Amino acid sequence: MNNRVARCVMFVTPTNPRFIDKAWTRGGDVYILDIEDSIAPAEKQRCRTLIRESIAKANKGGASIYVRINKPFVDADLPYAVWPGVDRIMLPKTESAAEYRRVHDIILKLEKERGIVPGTIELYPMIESTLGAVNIYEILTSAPRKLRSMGGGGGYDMAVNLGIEMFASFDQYAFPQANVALAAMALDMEPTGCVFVPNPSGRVDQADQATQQASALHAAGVHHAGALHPNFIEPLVKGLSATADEIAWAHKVIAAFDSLTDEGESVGMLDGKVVDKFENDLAKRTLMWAADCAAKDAYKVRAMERAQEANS
Amino acid sequence: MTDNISNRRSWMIVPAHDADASARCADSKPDVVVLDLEYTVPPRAKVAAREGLAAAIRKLADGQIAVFVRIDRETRWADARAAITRGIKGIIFAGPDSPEEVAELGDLITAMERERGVEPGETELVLMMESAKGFWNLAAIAQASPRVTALGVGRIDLTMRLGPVPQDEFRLYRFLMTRALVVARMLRKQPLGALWRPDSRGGVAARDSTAKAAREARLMGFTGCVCATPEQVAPVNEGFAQV
Repeated sequence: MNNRVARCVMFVTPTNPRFIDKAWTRGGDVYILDIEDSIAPAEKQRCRTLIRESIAKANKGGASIYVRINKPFVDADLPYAVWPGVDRIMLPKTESAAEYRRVHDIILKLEKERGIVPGTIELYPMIESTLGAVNIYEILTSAPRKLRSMGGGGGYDMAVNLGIEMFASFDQYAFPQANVALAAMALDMEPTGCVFVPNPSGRVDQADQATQQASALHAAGVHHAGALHPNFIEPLVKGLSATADEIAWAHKVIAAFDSLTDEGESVGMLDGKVVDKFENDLAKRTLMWAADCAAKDAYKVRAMERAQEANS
Repeated sequence: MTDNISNRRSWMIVPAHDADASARCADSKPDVVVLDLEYTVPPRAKVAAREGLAAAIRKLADGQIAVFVRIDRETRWADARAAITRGIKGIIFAGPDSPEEVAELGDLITAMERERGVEPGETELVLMMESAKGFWNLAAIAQASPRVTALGVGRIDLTMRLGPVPQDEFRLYRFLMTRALVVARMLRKQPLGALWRPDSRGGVAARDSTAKAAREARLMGFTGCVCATPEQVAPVNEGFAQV
């Protein structure tokens, strides 16, 4: 199921049976099969040969599948990474339009050979350096390939590139992340970053950190988050879904705006809050998001039931 | 109140169809009065608002008030036609996406100036940025017409759906304000904007939060902003006062 619901996107190492065999039971919306930094050089080739069967393992619970390849080995990786069932290829450390375009061309060829509708696998440029952040607009417009959402411009590599600490009590990635988000918005993609939640401890396995992160993202209107540890999955999925209160409020706003429009007015008040075309648009988005979440959750439940039956 | 182009702090929005508001608009002492054809005018009142515009502009201009007209992006051609008349200082275009749109509007204004006996090139253009495309193309947009005298940050929390972040700001707001400021200063345009907070959204902000939004914007380098209500004029004038 290829939809835009990616409340929790988690890395999985295909070479480790403990992770890859259990991933589908964890309830994530998306799993990234990694051939890059979590795989040792000596294991890369074995990892490549495991990708195809890992797709079928990791999506058993209804998750979508991304594959992260190695920038220096795109030619070696892509024939093992482009398969039906893969929604997105992630190209690490993207810095130029030329390298993005080259990967696009290789994917296009493989899509045609393997019965995938050309251009449908998303190619996500991971922005992990200042050069990539500055070139982001050219990168994103260099290939005719759809990309629903885009974020980035932070992380370990960016910290090294900037010569700064990765974990700080202030947002040291403010400029590169915002530049990436603005380019994404200018190109009608959903921007997925730019919400700073302090985490000076640097720990990535604590559920309360995930809850805080989800609530900050949710308030800011971002519904997309990454995870390195399974403890993050449930708080993120829950915290980034539309709430019952939001849905009820959205219905009220839309009804109020409809009657305003009938009366020939453009601005009104509802329970002490302004109702106008902006609030009406926002309410409609809330309902669309709620419907998307419900569809994804129902799909995951059905997939999970089928997988458990097959297992028993 | 004499117009001083280097000291236009408060730009007060007055719905163009509202004759009462227009008559009282000088009471709060804004530096600029903005007759609005956009958002604050209900759809059914738009035609009457356009028809009454020339008379309203002349009346304000006779009273030595600097008067601008904010046009609706969707109907900007008809709105600009209705607005160009003797006495108008300029047009506020909210939400430009591309340099072509601004150049086209500049040409339309030139034609109308000729037709209406307005000094050629006198009508200023103020651009209020409200879209991601506009912010990305900012420098090119600001140079698309020699009429552009000011560059502002519009209602981006609403138009770009920037929700609050834990730092008590709107997401991306400071970045976009900085971007607008840099381009405005680079091109010698007046930078317009206030650092609104999520709990004090522009349209309904009370006195204290308005003063704070204006003061913080002045410290960033802005020199004025739009006021949605007459009550916001005094705190904006104080907030942007040069100290």
